[in-house]
Amino acid sequence: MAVFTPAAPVVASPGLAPEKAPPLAEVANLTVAFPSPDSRMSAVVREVGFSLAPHESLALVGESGSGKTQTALAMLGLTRPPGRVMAGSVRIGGQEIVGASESTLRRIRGSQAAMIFQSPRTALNPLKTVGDHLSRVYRRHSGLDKRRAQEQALAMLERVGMTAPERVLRAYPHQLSGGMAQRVMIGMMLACNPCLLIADEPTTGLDVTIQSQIFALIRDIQAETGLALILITHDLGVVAENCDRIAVMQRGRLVELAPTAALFAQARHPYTLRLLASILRPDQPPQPIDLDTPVVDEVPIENAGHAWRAISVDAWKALDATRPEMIEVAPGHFVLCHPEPPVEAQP
Amino acid sequence: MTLRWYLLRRLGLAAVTLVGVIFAVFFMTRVLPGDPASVKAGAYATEEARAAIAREMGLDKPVPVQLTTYLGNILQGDFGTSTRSGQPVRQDLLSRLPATVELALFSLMLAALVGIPLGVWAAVRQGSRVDALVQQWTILAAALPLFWFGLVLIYLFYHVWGIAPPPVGRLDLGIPPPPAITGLYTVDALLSGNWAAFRNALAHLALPVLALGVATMSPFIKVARSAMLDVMASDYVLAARSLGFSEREVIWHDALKNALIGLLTVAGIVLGYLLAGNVLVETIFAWPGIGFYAWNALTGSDYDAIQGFVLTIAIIYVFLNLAIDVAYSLIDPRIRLR
Amino acid sequence: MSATTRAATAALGYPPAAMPVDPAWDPEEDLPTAETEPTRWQRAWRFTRPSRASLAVGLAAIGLIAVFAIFGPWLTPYDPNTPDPSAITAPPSSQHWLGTDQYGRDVLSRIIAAARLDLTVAVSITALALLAGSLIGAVSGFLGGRVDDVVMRFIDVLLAFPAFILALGITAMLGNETRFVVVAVAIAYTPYFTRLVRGEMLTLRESEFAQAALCAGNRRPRILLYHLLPNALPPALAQATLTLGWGILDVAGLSFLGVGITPPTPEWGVLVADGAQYVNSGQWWISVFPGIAILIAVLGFNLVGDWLRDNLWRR
Repeated sequence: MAVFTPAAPVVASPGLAPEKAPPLAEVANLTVAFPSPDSRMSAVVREVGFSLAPHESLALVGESGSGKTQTALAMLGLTRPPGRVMAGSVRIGGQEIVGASESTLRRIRGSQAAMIFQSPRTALNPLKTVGDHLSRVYRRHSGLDKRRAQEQALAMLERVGMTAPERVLRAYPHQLSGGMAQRVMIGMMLACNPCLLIADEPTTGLDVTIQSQIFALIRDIQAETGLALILITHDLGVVAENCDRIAVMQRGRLVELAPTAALFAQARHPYTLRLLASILRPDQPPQPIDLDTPVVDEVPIENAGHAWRAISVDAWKALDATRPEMIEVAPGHFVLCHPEPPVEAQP
Repeated sequence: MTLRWYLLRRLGLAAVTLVGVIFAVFFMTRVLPGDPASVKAGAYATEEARAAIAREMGLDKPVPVQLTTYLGNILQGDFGTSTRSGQPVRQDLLSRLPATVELALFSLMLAALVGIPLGVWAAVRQGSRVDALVQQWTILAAALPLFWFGLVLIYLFYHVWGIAPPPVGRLDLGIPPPPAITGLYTVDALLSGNWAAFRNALAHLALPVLALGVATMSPFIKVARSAMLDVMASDYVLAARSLGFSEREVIWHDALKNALIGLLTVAGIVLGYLLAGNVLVETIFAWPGIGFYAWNALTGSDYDAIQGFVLTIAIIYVFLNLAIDVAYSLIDPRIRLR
Repeated sequence: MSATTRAATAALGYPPAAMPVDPAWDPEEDLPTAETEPTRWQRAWRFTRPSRASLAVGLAAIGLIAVFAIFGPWLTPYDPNTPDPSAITAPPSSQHWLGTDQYGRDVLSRIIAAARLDLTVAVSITALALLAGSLIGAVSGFLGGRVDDVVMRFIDVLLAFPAFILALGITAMLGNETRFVVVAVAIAYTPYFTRLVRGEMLTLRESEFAQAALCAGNRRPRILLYHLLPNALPPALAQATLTLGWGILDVAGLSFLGVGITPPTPEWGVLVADGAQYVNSGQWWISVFPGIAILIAVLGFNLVGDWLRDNLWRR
């Protein structure tokens, strides 16, 4: 456990060709902070960077509180005060989001990038019918009149696979099941005709069968419209099926970014390894969980042959202050490394 | 279908409560250890006089008989006779009700029209200086003794600055009241085009309405603020923002209506304040409504009048709460379609 | 940004450099997480910052009134009930700081003398209402079913009266005695405690720790008393603090109307009523100062009550 040697020799390959198509979304050095109880700013997202090609699916995985949702919200300029984007850049379709005016943001939200949320039932206004929700989007984004908007709303409900669209159109959110509500949210998103969909744990709290239906729907839509997807989840099984690349986040930092196959086969970062180890496989006996040793973090160290050491949380904090960087260990496979050895190493 | 059931159930509940209220007033007067006959007879009455009054009131009869008589009377609209005016209590109360309604309506308007926007404003600017000031004002206004605040207003506006009319009644002595249409002097004066009476009625309303309005404003501010904060932090507001709707549209289209529903649920509390505060304010301003009538009855041991007053207020309150619940169920689909 | 990062970002198609947005934010300076952490006590104190000033003001107000109530007889500069014909309606002066009333009695002395009665009455009202209300509410919520239905109909009937009107009606019928006022106002506030505690009970009863206690073989009365009631009490206590303030307001309002506590007993509402007729002619101090005493007391209880409610309620 104490020492980890990467399987492949590390090559920083600056000669690697960049993506052919211009990226659809680019996030660089994004840092989002919220005031802590003592009213100083404390970062929940630190220097996160990745890019997304058109039609690509990227998964953001990580434990609760690792900054996945805040990264997504910041991408749409939706960071809720008193939180702030402290530094960095987000470009969607070439347009800078960070620091953009409210009207620019409004043009981008929905029509360029849209988001669906964790609890679809509370993401719908309880006083408005499904028809109100959908036709409002059509009227805002396509400038349709009331009747045409209603017709489009009905068509959209059919498109997202609703069985009784006429009835659903008149229903209020509290009369929908979670799966139906998520379909309505997807419909509202689609009505804006965006290029990028950010799905924040879209199936948490739904039945497993409904969950696969929702993902099937998203995959269909992607095949149909070429929608790029950022999927936030902590379910690696879902990721394996649906995403091209995986970005792993821990404590606000991106710790590993790799194509799906590469990550499952050759994960480098200890946190990713722990995440992978937590997947239960029916064909393998569950791994015994060691309850005796205290939970510690392991960090990669840039020099010393990329050894990884288990360190305490305090040491991790000190180390984090040394500004770790993403190193490319294989083509398209990046791992967070610390430039200096840890101050204090513990077994 | 379900809405009809809900309304029927709510109506039935109100009827049960109403019967309960009548019983409660009966028990309040006959069964509590106090002796209504001696209250009615006054402190200096002889024992014979007291006994005569007790007989006249039927207090010598067994309680069930008293209860039946009482219920029969109430259901016929007989609230007894006032010893002060010699009139039936029901007639006294009915003739004074419009004055009370006028005062209450204006106060409610002041409290709501100032209180709700203040609360919403504070919520939208959460954590700002405005928010802090509004909250401090809420706390102060909630602690104001209403009767004292009325006196302070009279002292300042009438005695010191001389800009308010004498705090007695609804109109100056020389001004004849407008023809009774609604009983609300301001409305009647407007309908009959009597500008002098309208202005004078408004001037007389100003101070009592200010006192009562300020006293009932706090709950409005408090609830409007917290309801608005809840709604602005809700998922559907975030979702609306993420779809590119403007902040203004989100506030007007999504947030406000939901926040106002929250307000409706506490409207009952506010109305309770208002009905209770009426007695104090009408007493201070000699406002000829049912509250002032009740005060006169209290000081004159006018037994039937007090009882009639308490019963009337409770009946009004039950109906107001019923109306609020019905309005609530019509606005909120979660109840309408349950 | 180092060479490796630059290479990595170039490979990913990153924009070449980070764009600092906030001028106050220096990306080279690390976020202050690694600095010394505040102690737990400091953190608790900081966390309540928005309300800690109001808590202090509230406690100070209650403290002042409590000092009046406890040490009143030693603090009054004059005898509160002795008229002084030579100083009738004297305005505030160095002899009579807050002036004198229509009989020449010292207003300050009467305010101080009234504190004990007002505070005692408020505490008695709250204690009675809290005790009766919580007990009825706890049993009703715990038992549920038919018992609960009947109790709640009773509570509905009491709640059909505005509290002040109910208290007014009961006092008017019972007669003008201090103990009757206490009982009347306590009855008016009992339903609020009943409803509150019953609501808490209904949720607590279904809670997993209650089920666990039942599974562990505890008897139901024991669960009610030792497991559920202590959890339902904090909100009731916060409510009780607020009721202390409302009780003072209502008692003063009643005696202002001439119901309940009557002159010449010094009581704040009575004092305001005493001076009411003199306000029109400019002798404001007789009514205004006792009113400020009420304001201070009620403000104190409201501030502390709000603070308790925000900090004790299910947090």
